[in-house]
Amino acid sequence: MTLKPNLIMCIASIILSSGTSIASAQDATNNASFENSTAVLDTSVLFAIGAREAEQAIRGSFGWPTFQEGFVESVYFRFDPDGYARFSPSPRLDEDVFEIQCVQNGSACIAQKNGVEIGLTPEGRIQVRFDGITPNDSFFVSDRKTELPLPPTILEPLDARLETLLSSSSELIIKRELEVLQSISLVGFSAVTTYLRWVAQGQSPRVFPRGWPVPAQSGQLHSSGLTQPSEWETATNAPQVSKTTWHMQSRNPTNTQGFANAGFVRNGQADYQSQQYGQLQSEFQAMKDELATLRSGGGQTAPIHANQGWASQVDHGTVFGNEIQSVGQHSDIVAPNYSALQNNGVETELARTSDFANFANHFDNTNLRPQFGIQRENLTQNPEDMLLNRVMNLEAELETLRQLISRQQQYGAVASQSGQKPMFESNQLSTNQIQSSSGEERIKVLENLLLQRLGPTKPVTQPMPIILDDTDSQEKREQELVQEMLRKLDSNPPTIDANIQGDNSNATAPQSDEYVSLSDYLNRVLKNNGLNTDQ
Amino acid sequence: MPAQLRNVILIIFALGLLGSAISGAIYLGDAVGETVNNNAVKLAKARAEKDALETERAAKADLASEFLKENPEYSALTSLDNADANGFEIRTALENSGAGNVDMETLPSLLRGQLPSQSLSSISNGEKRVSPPRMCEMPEDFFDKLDQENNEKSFPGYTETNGYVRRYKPRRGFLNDREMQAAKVAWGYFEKFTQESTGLANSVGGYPSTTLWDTASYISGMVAAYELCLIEKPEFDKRIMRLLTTFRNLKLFRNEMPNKVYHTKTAAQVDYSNKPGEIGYSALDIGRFLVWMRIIRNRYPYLANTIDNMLLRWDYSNIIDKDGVMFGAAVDKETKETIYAQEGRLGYEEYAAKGFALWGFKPYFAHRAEPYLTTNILDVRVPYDGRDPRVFHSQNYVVTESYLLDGLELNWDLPHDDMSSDAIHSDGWRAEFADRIYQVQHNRFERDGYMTARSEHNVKGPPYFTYDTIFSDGYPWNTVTPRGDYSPDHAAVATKAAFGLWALWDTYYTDILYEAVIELFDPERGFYEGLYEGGTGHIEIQTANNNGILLASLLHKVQGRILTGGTGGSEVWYTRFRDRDLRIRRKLPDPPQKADWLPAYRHPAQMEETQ
Repeated sequence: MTLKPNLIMCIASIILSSGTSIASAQDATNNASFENSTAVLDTSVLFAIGAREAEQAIRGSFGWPTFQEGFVESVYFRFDPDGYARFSPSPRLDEDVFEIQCVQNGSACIAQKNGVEIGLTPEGRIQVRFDGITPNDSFFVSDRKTELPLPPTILEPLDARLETLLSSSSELIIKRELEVLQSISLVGFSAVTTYLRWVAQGQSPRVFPRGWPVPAQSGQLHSSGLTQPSEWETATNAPQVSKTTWHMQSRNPTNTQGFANAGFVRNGQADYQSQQYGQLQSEFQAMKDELATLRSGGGQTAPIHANQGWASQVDHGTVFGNEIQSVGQHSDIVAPNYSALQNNGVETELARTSDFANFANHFDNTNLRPQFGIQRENLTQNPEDMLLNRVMNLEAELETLRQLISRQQQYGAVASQSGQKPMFESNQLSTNQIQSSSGEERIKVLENLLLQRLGPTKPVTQPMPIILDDTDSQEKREQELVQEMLRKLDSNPPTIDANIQGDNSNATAPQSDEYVSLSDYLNRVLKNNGLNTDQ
Repeated sequence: MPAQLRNVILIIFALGLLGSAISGAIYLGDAVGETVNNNAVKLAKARAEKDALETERAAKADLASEFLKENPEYSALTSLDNADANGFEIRTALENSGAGNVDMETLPSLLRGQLPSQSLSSISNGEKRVSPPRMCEMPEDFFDKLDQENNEKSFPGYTETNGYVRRYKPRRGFLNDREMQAAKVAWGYFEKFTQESTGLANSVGGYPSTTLWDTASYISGMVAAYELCLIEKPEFDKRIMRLLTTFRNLKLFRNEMPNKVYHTKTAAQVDYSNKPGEIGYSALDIGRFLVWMRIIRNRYPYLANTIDNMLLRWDYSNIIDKDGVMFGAAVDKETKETIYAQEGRLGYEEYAAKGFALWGFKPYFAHRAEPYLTTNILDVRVPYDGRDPRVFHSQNYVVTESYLLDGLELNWDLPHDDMSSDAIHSDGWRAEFADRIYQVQHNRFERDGYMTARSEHNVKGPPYFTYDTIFSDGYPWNTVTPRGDYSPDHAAVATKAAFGLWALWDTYYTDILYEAVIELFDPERGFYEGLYEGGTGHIEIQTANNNGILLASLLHKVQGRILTGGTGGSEVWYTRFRDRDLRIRRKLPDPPQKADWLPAYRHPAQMEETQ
């Protein structure tokens, strides 16, 4: 019986305490929004060349003591450690402003301007939301001289074409019937979308599109940073890597961000690269096995939709753009290694030790990276053999990567605590894709996988011609997209970076013509399947 | 007469003479002996005293010479003979003289501490300003008498002594029902957001963090609540003693001065994100805190010892230099060393300087208006700090708050002025500048229709804080974030500015401001920070600074100038640690004398503009 009053007391105290905590929580929510704000950015990590970290005087009891400011893509910007940013063509950041606020510890950032909101989908694609529109409203982009109509897909997550188009346009015009409902300046759109991805990816420079003034980050290790990650006192306040995982992120084949911004290597990057190296190795081994199976068996007859793989990539337009960037960076450092490998006779050794010795000899007259056009003399080559040739090259890349890793480990590369997320999908996923396909489809899968890793070297940063004629079929648009992409790929050969090669590098080594470019190869494949636009 | 009888008589006479002579001789001998003995004792005593004095003097001389070897800059303090032999006489003479400059350097340390501070009332033998009664203790005709006293005829403009008489009058009188309700609601903020464990009040609602600036606002709220009879003495004492005790044990930034920010639940040093850490100190915040320490010390003398001992812990050696420039401190991100940088711009700098001057410091440079410039906004020459932000990396915001605080708390008077009429502002240019700050906002309302009462204020969500300025960065009516972004959406009628203007400028325009903010509160949480200019409602945030200044404004209506005269006499603040070099190391000041007073400036530019 004596327990009863105690029980009542307990329940009462629990209720009271819960009430108190609820009240406290409400106080915190209502009156202390700063309490919920978390540093997600290290303002000493520069967003673009010329940016700087600065201090701000705070009169109150809370706020961010540092911020970063700079100028990129024709707009000035400033952002705080919690991701709050403003982009404007005016240095006062007072006109035509994109204002970005981040919630949920920076995992979700929204840019706003005149009733338009821009955010990222979980897959990393840009999505634009408009206030007060109806289904009958139409959208146009304008360069102040002409207007181009936009498809209704503007309301969906943007593909690469639309994103590029918006980035290169001056205004987005919303019309209701013939009347202009709203005109929204798109100045800064490109910088803002890059910023959104940069924040979501924990300030990874690999999200920067081609042509972005990537800041030299080596200097940041020493003096430029006012915000040192080690200074953040607690985990909750430490600059955090976003938990967001994009589809792009999981598909990204190779992490070469550190190389693209040579000189700055974060803590743990060497380990991470080692892990990549292992994954690449096992993945390519699986691909080699698969190709060997294909060569020995059939797989020639199964009909496929040739642009299926492309379509999937195009559908993830922004994703694709980033993959291109990543691969482009990768190519920058891998390309010289071809020469090195050739000089060292590595490929010869590979050829001798494999079934593909004769295959390599077919490409005596093919440039390693043809400048332009299609190598029509190779049209007769077996596509599978070419694919295998690419595999050999990839193995060479693996070796390069291995060497880099060992070198970085040797020099004890400078570290940062911000963890890097896996940037390409697990080996298991690739294997599953390969295994779930058959015949030509398998080859296509392999092609796509390889394309992700090797093919394009330039992101789609220039506005691409968009066919807005509704009568065009989806298939045709995709074909044209492929064609455009191929053209861009061929027009941007990788550069040779002798610095990364070390003693074995030979920047002036004559390019081998033993290889055919991937774009040539893809053209041929598409042509064979009746998809080439030349036909 | 027979011959025998004559002989007998002669013999008797002779014997009498002989006896008398013998008695006299005996007496005389005794007397001489006693005198000789006394003189010997006295002589011995005198010798002993002299020896003791010489021993003591020699010991002190040794100590002094040792000290002077280590600190040659104090070689002027070598007149120890005067200290021992004539010190009391010197002090008495000084006290009796009443006026005149004292050469403090010729006085020994012990005596310097005992000198009474010189104020205007002590010099002129005038009537010192005393604390008015609490509102509930005021006679009903209190303000009738006050009106009669203040009916002196004085013309607006500068006086011969560089004081200033304003064209506008402050509001005075009892609080009406709406104002009492406002006071209760504002005090409700502190009732809700004061931490029991430390006695500190949160700066912003439920966020358990505070600065010295905001703590001063809490003290102003506390004093107002007591004087307006919202709380009684037990409650006031409990709160103030808890707070002062916390400050007595507060961990200081590198054993110098209080850190910029403290956690209100633990009183631990924190950074701007309320995580443990030290970030430096703010001279402006400390200056405002010192104003309120002097206010409560003068109003409530029983708190004097507590306050003095609390402030004596601080090391003032770096916060003010010998020229009177104020410095804040920060931590170098790389070397972790303390960085000292000049702090304060026109408006805030002079207000904080007065806080230091009230405690005997000499912030001459900080109190000067120079360098300043003016810009013409709506026909008003608005003064702003002339230091170029591009060069000095510090913004020169023109806002209302610092002028309001100076007016409410100090009546725009000089720190030593404890007797002049409220109608005459002895720190003349401050009052005149304040009038300009009011006038330009008034003009904006009349010409553009914008109800304007601008100040710095918090906002909900990023950027959390804005300087809602009258002028900054070359632009009028510029609303900017601390990092410099133009943020016009955050322009607002600041509640504290509106109340302050209403209290100090009795005009129809401030009546409108009053109506705009008098009910701008959450009854459970206090007054909102302000009302957005753009029509997007109120700023949904409550702060200690806003509610504290609001209460001070209401208190000013009832009692006028909040700083009252001191009790006079010696202060522990000046007498303690005189027997050691701690005062020198911490640069603790001596009681201010007339020669130490901040001068009343009158700038040529002002004269031209105002004539």
